[in-house]
Amino acid sequence: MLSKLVAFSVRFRGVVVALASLMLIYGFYKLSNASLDIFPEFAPKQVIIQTEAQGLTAEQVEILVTQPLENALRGLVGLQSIRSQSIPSLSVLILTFYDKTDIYLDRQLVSERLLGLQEKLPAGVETPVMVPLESSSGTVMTIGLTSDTHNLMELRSLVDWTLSPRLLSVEGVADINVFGGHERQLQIQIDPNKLAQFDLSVEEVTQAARQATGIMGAGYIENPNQRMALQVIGQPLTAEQLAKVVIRKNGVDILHLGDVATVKTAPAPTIGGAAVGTVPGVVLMVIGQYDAETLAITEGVEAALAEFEDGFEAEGITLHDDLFRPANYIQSSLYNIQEHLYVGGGLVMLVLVLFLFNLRTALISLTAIPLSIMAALIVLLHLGININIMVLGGLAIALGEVVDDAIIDTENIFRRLRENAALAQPRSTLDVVYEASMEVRSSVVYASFIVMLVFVPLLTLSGVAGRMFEPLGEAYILAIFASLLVALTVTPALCHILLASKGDISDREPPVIRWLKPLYGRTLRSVSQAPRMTIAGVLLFCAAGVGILPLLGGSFLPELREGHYIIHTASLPGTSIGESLRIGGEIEKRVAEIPGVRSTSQWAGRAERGADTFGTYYSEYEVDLEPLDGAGQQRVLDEIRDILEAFPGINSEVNSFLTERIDETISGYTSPVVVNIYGQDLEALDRKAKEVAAVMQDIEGAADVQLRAPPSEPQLEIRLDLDSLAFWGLTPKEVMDTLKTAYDGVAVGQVYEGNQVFDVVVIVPEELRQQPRHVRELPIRAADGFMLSLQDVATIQQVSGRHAILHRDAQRLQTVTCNVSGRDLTSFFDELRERVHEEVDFSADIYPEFTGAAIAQAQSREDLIVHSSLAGIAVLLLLFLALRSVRNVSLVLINLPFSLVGGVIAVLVTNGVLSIGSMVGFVTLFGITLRNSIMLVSHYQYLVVEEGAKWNLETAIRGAQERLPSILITALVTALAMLPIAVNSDNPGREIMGPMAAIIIGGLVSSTILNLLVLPSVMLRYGKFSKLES
Amino acid sequence: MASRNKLSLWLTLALILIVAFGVPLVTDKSWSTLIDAGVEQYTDAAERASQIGEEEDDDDEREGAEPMLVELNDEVKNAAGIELMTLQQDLYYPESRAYASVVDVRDLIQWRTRLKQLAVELELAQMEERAQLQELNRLRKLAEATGSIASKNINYAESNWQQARAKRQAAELALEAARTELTQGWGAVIASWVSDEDSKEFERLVTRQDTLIQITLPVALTLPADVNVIRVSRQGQRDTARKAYYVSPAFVANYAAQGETYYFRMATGKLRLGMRLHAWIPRNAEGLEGFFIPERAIVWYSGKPWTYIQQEDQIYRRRPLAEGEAVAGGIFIQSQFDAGESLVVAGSQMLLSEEFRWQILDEDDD
Repeated sequence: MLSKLVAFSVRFRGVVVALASLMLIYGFYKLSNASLDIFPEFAPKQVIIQTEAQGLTAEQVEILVTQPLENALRGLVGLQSIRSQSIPSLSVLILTFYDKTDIYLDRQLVSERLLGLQEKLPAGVETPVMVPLESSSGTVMTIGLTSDTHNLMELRSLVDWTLSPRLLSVEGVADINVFGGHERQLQIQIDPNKLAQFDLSVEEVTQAARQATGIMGAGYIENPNQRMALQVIGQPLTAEQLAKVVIRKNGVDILHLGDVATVKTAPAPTIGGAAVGTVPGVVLMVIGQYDAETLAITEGVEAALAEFEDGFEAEGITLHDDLFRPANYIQSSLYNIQEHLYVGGGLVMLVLVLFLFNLRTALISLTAIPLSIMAALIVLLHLGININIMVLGGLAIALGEVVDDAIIDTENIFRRLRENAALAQPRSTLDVVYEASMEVRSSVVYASFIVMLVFVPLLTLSGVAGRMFEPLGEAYILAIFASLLVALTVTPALCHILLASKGDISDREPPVIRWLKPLYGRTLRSVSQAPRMTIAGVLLFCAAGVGILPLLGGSFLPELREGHYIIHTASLPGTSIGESLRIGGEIEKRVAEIPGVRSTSQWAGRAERGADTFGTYYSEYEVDLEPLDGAGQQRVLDEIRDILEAFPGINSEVNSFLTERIDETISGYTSPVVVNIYGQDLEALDRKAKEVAAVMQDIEGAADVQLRAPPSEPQLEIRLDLDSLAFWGLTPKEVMDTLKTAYDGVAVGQVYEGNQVFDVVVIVPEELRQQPRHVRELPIRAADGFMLSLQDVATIQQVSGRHAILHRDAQRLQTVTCNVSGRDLTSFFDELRERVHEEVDFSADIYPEFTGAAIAQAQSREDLIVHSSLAGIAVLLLLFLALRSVRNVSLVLINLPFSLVGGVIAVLVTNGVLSIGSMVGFVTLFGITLRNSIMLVSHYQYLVVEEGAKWNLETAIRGAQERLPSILITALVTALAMLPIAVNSDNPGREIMGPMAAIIIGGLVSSTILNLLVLPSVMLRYGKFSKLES
Repeated sequence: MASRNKLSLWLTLALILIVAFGVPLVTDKSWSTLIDAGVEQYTDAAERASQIGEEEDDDDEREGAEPMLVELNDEVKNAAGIELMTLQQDLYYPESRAYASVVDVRDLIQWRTRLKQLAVELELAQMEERAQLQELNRLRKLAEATGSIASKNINYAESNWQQARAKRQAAELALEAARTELTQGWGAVIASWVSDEDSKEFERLVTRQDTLIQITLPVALTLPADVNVIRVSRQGQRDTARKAYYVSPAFVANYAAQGETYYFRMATGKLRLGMRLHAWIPRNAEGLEGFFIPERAIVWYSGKPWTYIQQEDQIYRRRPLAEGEAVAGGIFIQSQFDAGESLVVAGSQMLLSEEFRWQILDEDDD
């Protein structure tokens, strides 16, 4: 079939070239419309449900909100796990679905279950909302607003009613998370003393306010001619109007709302705060839709922001549209990769010209690059895969290889044409081109398939790594496959077109080859004379390489140079927003002083529907840098870390944005050993967890044993005294209602101002909502009208309450984690399991689960081993098909460890850290090494079997010399194509590919040396070629 | 014998040699490493044992009331934005809050009218008695002197006189009963004002120059003996409160509040009947010396309020405020502090966070 394809291509060369050109044009067209992103969607299929339950404590949220939700959502099709977090005022459920499910269908299923659930939730709890489906990298842009002339309430109103709606209308924007500012309310701030004075209860005020602000439709009138809707206007809309509302009328005495309360526009109790460069303001995070294109959304958002610029300037509002712009990273990455493509392409061209010494052959080989890459891109785009850094990475590492098949083909055709030209009776070009193509066909095909096969296990990786690297693998495999097709079709066609005229073919070899060949022959001869020493040297070298391996560190991803850092700080739970902002201000001030830092901003607490659901003690900071190289960014990072480490009272973490997002995606504890203890009774869980921790501590090898109790936070416990309540004729609900109204506020209605709607809320003034004594002195009206203080009917004391209650699969849990040092994990787990069961008594409703990153990793490692073994067997079969000799196959395989050594040395020289990218590098390297070995060994086979040469030193040297150009060119081309990335890997866009490139280059050096010098002598001594085996 | 000794010597030597060379061969460790390992194990065990002791001590310290210290170096201190205030001694008059209401004095006016009426009635009765007595005496004298008066007439006059005396006595009783009732209802002091025609106090009350108020103390409180002056406010705000002067205990309890009740007099006519007022009753006649800790310096932890004091340049100590008294704007405390000490007024929560940093978990581990 392949021979027919080659024959067709040579015969209908014009058609083939025309088709190729057409594909290129189509590719450019598709590419110009393609979307660009940073990473593929690496997050698992998750649906997050948030329910605001203002004023409830963690335990109340857990029992009243989280539990009913979990019960309703259990058992959904495709649901992998439910995790939940109940924190004060908020319930968060994270439903993780299996990767194979359709996220839109998952959301549909969830929303069906949520329908009607609202009725089962207590009054005052808002409707559970699904957080909008957003892209894995989430934030598309972070912007801020500050002003000297407008207060935080005005800024927030502007954001909520003008800016956010506009930005939400930009295509691709999923949500806007707004931090800070003050949400505007029309507050009826009751004066407790006046209530006492006028003998009024809070409830009476609430009722009066509710009746005054209620808005409802009034119906219509209809007569035989017309229908007219009734509209009631004139309800109190302003503070002044509302103050005039009558609460009580007693004869001529009229008591107005304004007599017992201050009615004014005031900020609602907040859940978060924000500052831009230490100035209090509003910070907005623009969240991108799932699968949306960061670059396009950014441009859309920027265009929308430009519409506001003049207005903001006139009003004295400063727009900080550059707090964080992930598109910068994409752009600089693209720029860097583009640069790499140009330089790499240039170097490839140079090598080709130098070694082939013929511009046309060089051009023919070079055409394989755009054709293969474009073909791969077209297929990817049609598969619905966006172009992102991982896709570009796959193409970049394929860059040096896609040209290989073409080179081998071209080089062989060129050589045969040269030989043909030297003949007295040259044969027809068509035949020569066809035969020369067919001569290398099988080795090209097998080698390419092997190169593709070794990448297959990458596609089967699970978890984040799988989702991240799958597009890279796909792009690489597609590009290699396309290059094979090009080598079988376009290359012979172009060879025939461009190399057909005999006059152009010189029968002399290119000068570099002419110079190299005898030199190589001499070296090979001397090496072949001492085969034992050579093999011993190789083995020693390999042993050294394997010895280095354990010294290398490991990380999931290398440091990404995004030009932006995200800092988290957490203080003791219970820290107020004010204090968090104060601490943040001090940190921002110092971070801003670091040279290279362009802007800083902070938010404390959380935003509605925000991804981070922490308390007011938690802050996140955006630190944006001026354009800096990798080393410069590292310096800033180090300085930020120094500042944070020295800062008292906080735990902190600094990450680049994407690392951060990936970390967040890898949910759960990252410790290798995790013991989850499930049960119902929180206190009992705590006790058991402590016992397990004690057992764990006692086991040899345990390090950093941590009890992962969610931190406690200060609470003011109001314990109602039922006897006192009875004495005063009060019910618990009356007291709780008064408390809720006073400190949480009761929304009694809404008022309109233009298209803006504000809540009307009854609450006590802010200055009376600050100290424990204010709560103690809160007036409560007894049944007979006598005014009491809360402390008369309740015991009030400060206690430590739970800040968060965690559930996994709808069960309460407590977790103990540890690291293991100095012993193997399996034996540690066995001992831990045994001792925990022996020494800790578990009741019927409490049970432990032994898990951890180690177990998860072991599972994925097992998967990887199975898949790699399968791929390995397939590779061996292909090798056998190519070489037709078990002996030769095993000889080729010894090349592999040697190539590994070069890669290991490269890792050691660059940064000494192995990441998943490095794994990809090694995999690529193995493929290339095998390909080169096949080229040589199959050529020997060709010489012995087809040309009938005798298998001896002379044949070995001749074969090696004949293969020298193609092996050297492909190795050099691949290495040089990678060089620009490898050399400057610590820069945007090159962080992941850099280590891969370094490994490939290092490995290529060692494996090419082996291939050219060691393999021939090994083959000579141990190899066998016979017609029988063929 | 000698040969046996020799043999045993050789055997011992052989055993020593076997042990000396055999153990390292079998265990794959040299003697020096084995000894080192032994020593290390011992020291580790000893260290662990001492740590266990320390940990227990730590627990004691945490559970006991002994607060811990926070140490910050200069650089950190500046970065953290800690603000200090020098403590100065203050005088504080501890007070209790009580409810008050304006008393209706119309009842007193009625009382005075009634008393007056009864007094007039008594006077009339007395006059009548006197007149009847005179008439009786005259008739008796005439009868003795002239004998012209019929004994029937004398008897008649005597009966009249006795009737008048009985009436006088009744009027006296009625007046006395009214006075007793008044005193019962309003207390001796107010009763005396009502009874005393020239009472200026009554005059001022009636002319609304003064207002009579009734204070109801919280159930658990009694009025200290030496308290004559309290402060009363209409708006429930201490700073706008005005003086009120002690009058007497009230005998009528507030049905709802059930605490002790007292009458006080305020020199104002602006208060109206039925007004609900707030009163502050000094618990001590003399002021207390101590320190005022402002609210922004206070942090709550483990059920108690605390504050931080800069003990040395780089050392901050947490001090309990549980013994202090919650007052408007902060806590007043008499013990624990000295004048001139530096109180942390900004950054207390941060110091608390630093002290209990071990409780802050890595926030990403959820």
